[in-house]
Amino acid sequence: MSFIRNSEFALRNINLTMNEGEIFAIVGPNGSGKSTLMSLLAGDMRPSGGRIDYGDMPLETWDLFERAKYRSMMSQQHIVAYDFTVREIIEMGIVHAEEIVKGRSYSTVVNNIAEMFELTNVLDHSVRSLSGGGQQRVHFARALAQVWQEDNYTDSKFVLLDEPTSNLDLAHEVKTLSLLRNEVRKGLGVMLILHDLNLTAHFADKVAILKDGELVDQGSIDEVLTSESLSSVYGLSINVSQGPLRITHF
Amino acid sequence: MRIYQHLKPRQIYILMILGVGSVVAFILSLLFGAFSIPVLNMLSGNATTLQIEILSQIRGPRVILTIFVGAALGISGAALQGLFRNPLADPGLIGVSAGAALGAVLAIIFSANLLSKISLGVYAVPLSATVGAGVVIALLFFLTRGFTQAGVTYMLLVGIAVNALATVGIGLLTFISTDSQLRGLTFWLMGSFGGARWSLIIPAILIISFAIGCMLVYSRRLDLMQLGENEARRLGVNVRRVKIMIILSAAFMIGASVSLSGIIGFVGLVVPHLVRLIGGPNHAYLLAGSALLGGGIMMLADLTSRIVIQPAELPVGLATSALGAPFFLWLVLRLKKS
Repeated sequence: MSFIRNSEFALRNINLTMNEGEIFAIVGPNGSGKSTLMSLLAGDMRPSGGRIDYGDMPLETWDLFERAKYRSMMSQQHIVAYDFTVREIIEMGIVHAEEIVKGRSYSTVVNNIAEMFELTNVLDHSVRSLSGGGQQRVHFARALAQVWQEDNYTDSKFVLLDEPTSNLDLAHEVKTLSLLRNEVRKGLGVMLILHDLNLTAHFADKVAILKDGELVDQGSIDEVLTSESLSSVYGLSINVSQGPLRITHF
Repeated sequence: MRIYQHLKPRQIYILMILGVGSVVAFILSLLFGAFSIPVLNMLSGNATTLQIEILSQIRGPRVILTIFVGAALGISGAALQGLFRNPLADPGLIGVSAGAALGAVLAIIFSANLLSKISLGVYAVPLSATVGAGVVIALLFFLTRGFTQAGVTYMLLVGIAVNALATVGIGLLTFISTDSQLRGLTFWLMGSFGGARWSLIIPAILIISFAIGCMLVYSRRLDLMQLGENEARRLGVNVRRVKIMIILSAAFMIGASVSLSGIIGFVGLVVPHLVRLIGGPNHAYLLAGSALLGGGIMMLADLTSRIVIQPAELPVGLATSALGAPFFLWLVLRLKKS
């Protein structure tokens, strides 16, 4: 799949597959096309060449609502017009209530998700009154609410997360990724863009490196995150030591 | 698209209070005016023919039109503020009011003498205003390639340009009008419900009711659009269809309203803010509340304009602007603080 913007390749010959039950991380320098890739996968724009399939059907053949049931996406930035409460924002994610709620009371579902993200105390606060990290957790919760299933994921469900922890403190970052890990164990498929390579090594199952719109490498953590490839991609001497895997550049 | 939405208990109470308030305003508006109609007379069946005539043929249609125009201005203000994600959006802003006004002024200046002799003459001004609104809608549609191009900022800028052009037209026509035309024209541009007759208002009522229904259907999708157009699409909202439906509904409603009542400022801007302030921003509540409060406020404004300088009448647009402008200023200052 390729994408051309202003008559230049923003992405060239990208070929990758994400699966249910795994965390697929995209890493790479700023401007390498990570967000563009994710936006294409979400269906915001059409690729200029090649194609994207959801399951075994081309993305274009899925109507907007079916797409919304299949995958959710969290962008880097969120500006909410008007003073909605945290509860209202999470509710907005539940666009297919009959599937998620399944006879439980609606607020139970919202409360469950809020609890996972430690948002219970601020559920009735205005989302704009929260800190940057707080707002990010709210939108993370909304993205998860869109595809969430309480028990194991019986249908294919994916979330696409563009730097989901960029504003979170260390504790929240680890907690949030751990709860994501737990959803993945239940069968959710996750693709996320991360800058912290150690975090990537710890939480991801697979990783792809992008540079200048091209896929440098993809595969398991051990195969892809090597001193040589990272040093060449970032133009910085990066050392990778094994067991446990640790990436340093000092 | 089956999506979850609900009104909070508090919002239901607010809507009920607004509903009761509207009924009270409706009754007051029917009873008071230049010609007084005692309640007891009406209730005991002792009303004179003149009183019944005034109530059923003059004040009745007038008050009904007032409700619908107020509701149309309120709800389309709320919907456009949601669609543009901009608290300063207003039905006047996309140029439709100005287009309707230009149409009406054209009719007043050029066709009044010509048409007053034939039976359809009374329809000349409203028809011409509707055509004016329609031309602006079509123009907006083509200039923005079906309301999709380059987002809402572009749309607002096109609206501002169209507004300016229509204002030039109105200015030119005012310049060449005779003194008597000028008087009618001024009154019309300041807004008045004085000309309401059943035969004139029924088409407008039908258009406004239908458009209100269309908007209410899209209320939850408007909520999701507050996250941004891309986010709303990812949540399954057909953003283009929402834009087309909201803009067309607003345009037809405003065209129908302006064609009968002239230009009434600030209701579409101020009413949604008040409703949002007391109950919250979700559109199922906001749209219904803005329609109710718009109708209620408009009835009270019209009642005031009818009784302050009896037996003469103040243009109702003056009353709404006099109250709306300071509120608007307060709003701007409040936005600046936060």
